[in-house]
Amino acid sequence: MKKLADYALRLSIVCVAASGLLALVYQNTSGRIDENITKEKLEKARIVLLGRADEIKIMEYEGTEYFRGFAEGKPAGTVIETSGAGYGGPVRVLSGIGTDGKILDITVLSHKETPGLGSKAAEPAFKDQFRTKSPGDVDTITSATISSKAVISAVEEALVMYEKVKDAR
Amino acid sequence: MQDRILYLWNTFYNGILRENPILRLMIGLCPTLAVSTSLTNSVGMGLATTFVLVCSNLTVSLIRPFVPSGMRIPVFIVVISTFVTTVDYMMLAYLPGLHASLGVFVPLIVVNCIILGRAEAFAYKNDALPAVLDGLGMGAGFLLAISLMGSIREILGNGTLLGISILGQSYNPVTLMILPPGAFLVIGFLMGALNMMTKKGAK
Repeated sequence: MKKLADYALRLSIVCVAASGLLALVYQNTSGRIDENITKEKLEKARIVLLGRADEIKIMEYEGTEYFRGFAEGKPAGTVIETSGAGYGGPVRVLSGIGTDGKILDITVLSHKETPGLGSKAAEPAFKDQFRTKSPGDVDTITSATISSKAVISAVEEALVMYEKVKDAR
Repeated sequence: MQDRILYLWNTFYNGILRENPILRLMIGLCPTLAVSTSLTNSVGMGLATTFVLVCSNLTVSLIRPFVPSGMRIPVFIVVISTFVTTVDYMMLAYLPGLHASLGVFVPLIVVNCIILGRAEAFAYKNDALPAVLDGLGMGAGFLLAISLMGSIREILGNGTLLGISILGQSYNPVTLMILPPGAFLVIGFLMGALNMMTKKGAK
């Protein structure tokens, strides 16, 4: 019994020390981590609006964050993040939509698709099709049908969401 | 004095070839097979694992007097997971790109048996300096083996190294090499090559 109490005490001390150290690390990195995530999204939002916006604002619709780009004070496009169900998990897509409601460009934020097969859905050869074709006309990639469709459905979802937020200020 | 230096050098060198964790001890294979799809990923994984290994070896060695052998395993796990979480946060903050491509394998360093294995087999029985050297040696051995695998798989499977095309446009990549079967093929050939080389030396 004495041994058990001794073990419990020692293990608790180790755990408290470990938690203390982790709290310290978290405190020093969490700010930067949040900053990185927002910075990455803003940078990508700029890209999918094809450089048309000089200012990007973060907006919200029913708890979902989206971005609106402005050029010289006038709206220049909307950027919406959606995800589609891929082969290895969700495929997160950022779609840039012009003021006419058409896709300007898209980018894949993150995915867990098979390297060399599904990962091609994130590459220019596939995703650049969205610049000229509507999502329904995009050619899927051979041997990566599920991944291609994940991107397509994400873009379609973004267009649906765009209809709801297009007039928001 | 000289014996001491020789002993320390051997402690370090041991992990690189004679007891290379991957190619000789065959431990820590799960992250090795999964992450070695490119050289960048391999180096990132190798460095992260080495960092955790050195820190956990040092800590385990230092807190030895405080930890009775009956409760050593839970203590090892707390120590290791603390350092892994530290690496996870650091990577998210300073190397978000690398973190994105290593994905779930960063938190999985916790269950890498190289780290628990060295804490148990070496650090718990030795002083701080040899424990750190053992961590460095084993880490270097892991880093070398996984980088070698990453290079071979990236060149054959994608025609690139560090993302730069080296085999040219006309090369048709053997996609199999960056898929899981490729990992098993490469590790098999590497083990075979190492065994052949060391056998010749012994004769």
